[in-house]
Amino acid sequence: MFYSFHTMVILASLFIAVFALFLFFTLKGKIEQLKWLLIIGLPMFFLGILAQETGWAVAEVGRQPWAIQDMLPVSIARTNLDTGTVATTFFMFVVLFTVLLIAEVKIMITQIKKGPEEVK
Amino acid sequence: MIGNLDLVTLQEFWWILIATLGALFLFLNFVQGGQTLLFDVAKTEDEKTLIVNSLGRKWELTFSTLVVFGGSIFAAFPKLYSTSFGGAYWVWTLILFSFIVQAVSYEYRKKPNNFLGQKGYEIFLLINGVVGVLLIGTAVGTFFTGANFKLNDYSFVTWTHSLRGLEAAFNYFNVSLGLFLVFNARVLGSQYLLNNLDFNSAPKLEGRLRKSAGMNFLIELIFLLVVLVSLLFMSGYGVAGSGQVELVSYKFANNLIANPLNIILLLAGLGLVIWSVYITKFKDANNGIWFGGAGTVLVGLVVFFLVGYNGSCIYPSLTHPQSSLTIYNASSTHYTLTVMTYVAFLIPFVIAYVVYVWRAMDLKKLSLDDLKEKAY
Repeated sequence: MFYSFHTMVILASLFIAVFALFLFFTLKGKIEQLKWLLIIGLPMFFLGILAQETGWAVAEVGRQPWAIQDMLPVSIARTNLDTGTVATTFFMFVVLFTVLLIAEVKIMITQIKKGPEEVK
Repeated sequence: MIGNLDLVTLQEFWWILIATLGALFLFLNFVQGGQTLLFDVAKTEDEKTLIVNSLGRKWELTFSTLVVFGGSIFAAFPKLYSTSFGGAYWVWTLILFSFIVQAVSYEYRKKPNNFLGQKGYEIFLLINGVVGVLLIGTAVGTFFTGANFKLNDYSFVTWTHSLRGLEAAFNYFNVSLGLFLVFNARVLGSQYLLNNLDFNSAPKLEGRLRKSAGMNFLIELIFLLVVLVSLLFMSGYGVAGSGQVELVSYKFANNLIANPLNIILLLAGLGLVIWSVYITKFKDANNGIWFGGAGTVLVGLVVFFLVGYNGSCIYPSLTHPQSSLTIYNASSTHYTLTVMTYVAFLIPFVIAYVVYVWRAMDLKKLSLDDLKEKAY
């Protein structure tokens, strides 16, 4: 939890700094010339997902043993679904979202190859 | 002001709000019904594209109403939410999946290199329109017929059937209610498309939609009769004077008679639906959706009112009747309901926004010319 929390906070600080730079240079009308800044901006998408996941870990680990502080322990709040049901659901999600991910990536690659529409 | 109301008043008021949201969702199921028309009413590629793009402008309204409906149950009647969603697990999981595939289908269907092909996404829309609505109908049916659960002292649900909710699909009443909703959605879908499309670019589609409204209404009528006749004669769980839950003969017939408003709403609702189909089929009217939609909302309200009031159970337990839920033992606290009632004052603004957006989208009827540059 220590590392999750610190990763989340460091990334949040980084986002604020990078977004401030983007805002500044966008207002100045120079954003398209600054290739170095655009390259820095690219991994922010993936780092955003990482920040979400670490934040989620902080919330879920940090709350233990409570689902609702001082009222409902996780041991009582948790589901009584059997392992097979949970595993089946997990694989249903994995299969469906993998299929949708493949579709999304293929669509995106096709669009990127086509390039942006010409300005009319 | 609201805080001075007693808990029972707030509980009954919130069940009216839940009923309203549920009834509105049933009306907005015209999107799901319209999706199923892709496979029989639409005969050409252009007609399919017209239908998908017309429905694609509205699907989020249905989806967000479903989310608000679920969210309101979570907040106002958390015990109902946790018992049903946590217990009848497979029904709700399959409903969830049917809505996941719907959401992506509108976006991906016409995109080049979309992996599953146009047909794949159209099948997803069909699954959402048939399986999704059918399962929602069977889940609502268990409000009348009961479900297999038991609650312990912590309100923790134990489901006593291995199918975890799917067993509801083997009850004739639940299935009839589900199929009624499926075919009602198809009637509404036909009426909506008649109202929304410009048929100059697809002249033959109009006649097929009118025929579809009539045919689906006739099929819907069969399942409606099964549901209504069953409701009049079936027993239902109710809370006796002693506080014990017991099976009561003619429970729903008694509930109907106990509050004449139920009878008025039911008759008015059915009358509006019949009128909507009549003017759609025989008068070439394009505004049938408004009468059909209003009728569906009124009938939907009665469905929820019948299980909510007059000492009835909103979620009866077949396994352990004393675990059955009513609007009184399943609700949030007085404090939560009070706060939420203040929040609910925002609802008219949300509805006004929906009306505004709807009107803006429908200023001009959709034609193929509108889809030349960008179609989904």
